[in-house]
Amino acid sequence: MNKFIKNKISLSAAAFIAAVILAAAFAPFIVKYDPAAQELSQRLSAPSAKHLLGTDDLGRDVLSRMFYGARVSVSVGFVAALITVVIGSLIGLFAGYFGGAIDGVLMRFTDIMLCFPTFFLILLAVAFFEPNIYNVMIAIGITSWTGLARIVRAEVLTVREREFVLASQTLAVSGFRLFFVHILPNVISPIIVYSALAIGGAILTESGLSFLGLGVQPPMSSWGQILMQGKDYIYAAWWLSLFPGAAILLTVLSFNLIGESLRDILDPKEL
Amino acid sequence: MPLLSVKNLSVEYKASFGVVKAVDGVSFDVEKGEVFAIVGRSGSGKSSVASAIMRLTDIDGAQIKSGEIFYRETDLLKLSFDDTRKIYGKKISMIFQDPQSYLNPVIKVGKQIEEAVKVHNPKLSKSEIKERAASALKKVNLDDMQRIFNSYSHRLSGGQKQRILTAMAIINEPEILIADEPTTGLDAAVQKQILDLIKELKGKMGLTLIIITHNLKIAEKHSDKTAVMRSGKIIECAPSKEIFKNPKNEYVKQLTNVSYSLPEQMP
Amino acid sequence: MFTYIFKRLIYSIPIILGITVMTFAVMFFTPGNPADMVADFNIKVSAESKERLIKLYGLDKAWYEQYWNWLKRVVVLDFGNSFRDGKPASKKIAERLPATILLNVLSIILMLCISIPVGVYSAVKKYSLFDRVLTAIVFTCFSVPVFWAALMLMTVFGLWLGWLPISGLTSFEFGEFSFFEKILDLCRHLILPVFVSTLGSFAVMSRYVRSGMLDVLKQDYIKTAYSKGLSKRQVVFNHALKNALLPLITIIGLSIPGLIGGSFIIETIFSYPGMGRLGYEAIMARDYPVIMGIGVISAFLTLLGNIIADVLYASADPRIRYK
Repeated sequence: MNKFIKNKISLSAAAFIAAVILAAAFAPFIVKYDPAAQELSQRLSAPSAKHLLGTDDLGRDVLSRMFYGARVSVSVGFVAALITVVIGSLIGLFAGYFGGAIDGVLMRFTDIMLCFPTFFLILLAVAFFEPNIYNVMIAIGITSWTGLARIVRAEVLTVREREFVLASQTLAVSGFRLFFVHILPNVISPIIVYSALAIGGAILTESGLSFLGLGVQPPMSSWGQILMQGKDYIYAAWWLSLFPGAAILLTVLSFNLIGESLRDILDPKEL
Repeated sequence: MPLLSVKNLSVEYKASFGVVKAVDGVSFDVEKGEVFAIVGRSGSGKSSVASAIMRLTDIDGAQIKSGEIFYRETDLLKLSFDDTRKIYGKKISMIFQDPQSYLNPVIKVGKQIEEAVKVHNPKLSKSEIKERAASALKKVNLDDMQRIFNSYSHRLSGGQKQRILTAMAIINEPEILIADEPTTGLDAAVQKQILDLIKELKGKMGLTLIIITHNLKIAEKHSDKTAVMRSGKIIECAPSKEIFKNPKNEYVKQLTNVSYSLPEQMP
Repeated sequence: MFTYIFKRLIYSIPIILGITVMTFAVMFFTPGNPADMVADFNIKVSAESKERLIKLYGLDKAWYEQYWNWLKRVVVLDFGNSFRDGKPASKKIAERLPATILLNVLSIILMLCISIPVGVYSAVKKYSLFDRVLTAIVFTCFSVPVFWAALMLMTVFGLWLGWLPISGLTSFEFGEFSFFEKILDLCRHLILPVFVSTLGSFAVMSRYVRSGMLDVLKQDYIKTAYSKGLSKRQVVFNHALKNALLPLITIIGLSIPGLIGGSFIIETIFSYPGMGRLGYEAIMARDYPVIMGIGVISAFLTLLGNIIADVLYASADPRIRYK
């Protein structure tokens, strides 16, 4: 924990994430304008004291829309990562723990999933089952677990090899005990590190989907969606593209930095 | 004047729990033609002394904190890294414990041997280099040169690998050869062969030998002078005949009474 | 060696079957069936002819029969005709595939050209200012949304500076150009898409090179090399590099699906005439035959890439023995 505090970069990353989460949670109390309120006389006005980050093509306040957009990014990031981590850990644990035929089937399934471009599958799923925030979360969650499953499986196998030697010396160790006392504590750190990276990845994927018009639908706003609208006005209204893009970049960067420093703390042998 | 003189050497490395003094103010002299043994348990700092002499401490993440290491009149620790390149492999060479991992797995053995010649004799022709490599292999009693030259290290036995490493170390006829646990990881029969080989080479080439070992028997049998290390310090250093018959230090006394071979692991 | 390749191919058969099952399952379980789609496209299609379509596609049969019939056609790369223009899906994909392969191969080459020297240098100069700055750049590249980077670069180099074209693969007048002008025109069009699709993978790869190199530089045989009197440069280039780069072969193989996935978004932004944009358009239009074809083909390409990577690795690393 000491290292974590010492590291200014990870600290500011954590602070930024906290700020984004707070902004998302309290968006209705913070923003000056209704994110959906159109003020056509104010169309595409540049950042000013009135509209800190300017307005979009329908005269909506960009800052307000970004605060609400944070809700989408944060919730998609966390929920999708949660689904990813649950599926990935379970498949990895089952495959590694039971071995044999179960391992064979699960790992072949993972190999097959690995052959498909993940983004293609996500596009397909979201497009076919109506693009909305829940489908985006699920689609990202159920397609992004392959890496984690492999890591967890490998970790379980190493632990098992070690513990079986031990078990044979100290008489019977029950399967239950083996699982909770020996295996779980060992796989928990790669899972935590992967979670942080998965949140960042999910936020990136969501913004890509929204940018292609397959993310959350209006009147809901998300960072990727503001960017999609902004791209048509990039010459006239740079603020529509710059700010949401920077928000995505900084948020994802923060999660990745947190993931990296978690890796340093939990697994110091890898540098 | 001694051939090699270590003065007040200290080596430290950073561990997760703080700074560890691997070598703490060690001094000793090695005379020309002598066999000098450094004995100690693993973790006593004996290998770090060798690393410091070879300027290899960086690779293990260790640092030479203070001290001087004189080879004749030159302080090896004051030389720039580039200047040391003319000394290692030419004047001072080293063979390591556990030969398995000390040959590059993806380069053919022959190329690795030739490289040792080439780096110190850039003007030699290809055939001359090959000739020297062949004669070095002969010196370490390896026949079947063609096969060995074209092999990767995983195809060879542990004994063959150690012979190859030895051949590379002596190929430029150095003055000093440091052997760090040269028999660890080898079968008992092969251990004896390697020791005999090193002694034989010493006799033929007039090498000065520094043998680092946890095996008191090896030290007693083969060395002229022995230094016993514990926790980074030399606790007793004397001619081998005296130290094994009549140790002064309590710890050394215990060692020589209890067993000839120190356990590699800390008890 | 040949037995190894043979074994590797045999091992791939269940995966190939799995790929087709997965693709078929996606088609089977998605709401709305292809006959509905065709009917929706063409209002004139009557209920009666819809029945005929259902028969034609075999949609009234059990799923395993449908799968078997579909599989028999997939084996000869017949994915059916596009719903949009009636052309064979495989032909449409074949037209677009070379452009996507060109884009991705160039990206891989550019990625290696940047990430190997960068990774090696920052490993050799660990914790130097250069290493720190590079780490920062790498993390930023890894976190940047590609479409946003594309947008920004298009704005700067395409619109403001006017140096580079921002869409397509060739200019309007391409047909009238001389050979040299054609090459130049292609290059100018490729610069931005290739650069953007390299961004993310460059970051990952240079991290791999760096940590691989750091790992190798701690190995015992590096000590042997130094104790022979080799210089730092000789140790790094003659002894460490090959060991550090070997694992990259596998990683490049594994990065193929990510690159193809990236093509969907990059090709769409740059209006690049490749398989990715075709796929995006097909998905938006629910053009099942084309979607299924692209799914199967990109999965096959990935598998093929992985097999080639494994074989290359096995022949490059002497420690691996083919049994």
